[in-house]
Amino acid sequence: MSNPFLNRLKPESKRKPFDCGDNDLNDFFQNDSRDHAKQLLTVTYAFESQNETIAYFSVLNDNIRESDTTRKEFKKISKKIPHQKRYKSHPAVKIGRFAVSRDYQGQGNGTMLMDYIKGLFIKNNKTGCRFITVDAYKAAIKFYQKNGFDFLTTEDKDDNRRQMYFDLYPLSRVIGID
Amino acid sequence: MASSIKETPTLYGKDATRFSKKIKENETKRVSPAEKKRVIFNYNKIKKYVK
Repeated sequence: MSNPFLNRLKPESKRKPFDCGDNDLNDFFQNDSRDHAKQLLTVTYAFESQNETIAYFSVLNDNIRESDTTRKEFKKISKKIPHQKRYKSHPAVKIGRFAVSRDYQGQGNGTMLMDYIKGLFIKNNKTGCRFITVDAYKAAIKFYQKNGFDFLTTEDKDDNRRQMYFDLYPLSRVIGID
Repeated sequence: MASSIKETPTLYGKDATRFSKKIKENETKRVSPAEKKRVIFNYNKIKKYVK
């Protein structure tokens, strides 16, 4: 990997060749990320060399909402009092997509970029952000667990993608906020 | 077209309880010196590559 750089992609930015072995993730990078950028839905960052994309990640604003009721109770109450807020909300950033090129997998690049994201949202955050959430592909769950992520719910345990989260607070206490 | 990014669900019942408990634990959770060193190193490394 010679002279890599991290590039925030505009809708019209050139997407250099990328293959992580998953068509959905490749397709998102080459196509959907343009439209998402245009509509201000996600921001995609590409970690690139001169000729190719080594990895990319797409992030968006998110929040984690927790209710002190069960889903059933929540529905019942909502019918009676429709507009009252009945949950706590915690600000978060969501990693919508995160992938490393096949040629660069298993070399620590994923953890390196994940540490960068953690540091970025602790040290250089422009708004409040306590958690990183992720829409994790089943094949990547071990990677996220290794990087300190937990499952948000058991309701998606049989799905091919699971919702996970990382709490930035413990890390923020030791690395500091700039 | 790639599949859409799933929304983060609202947590109810046991999921919400588990999450609250975890947040509380994290208020005093210690991060190992090795993890701290690695995150700072990687953050500063990639920061240098930002275009």
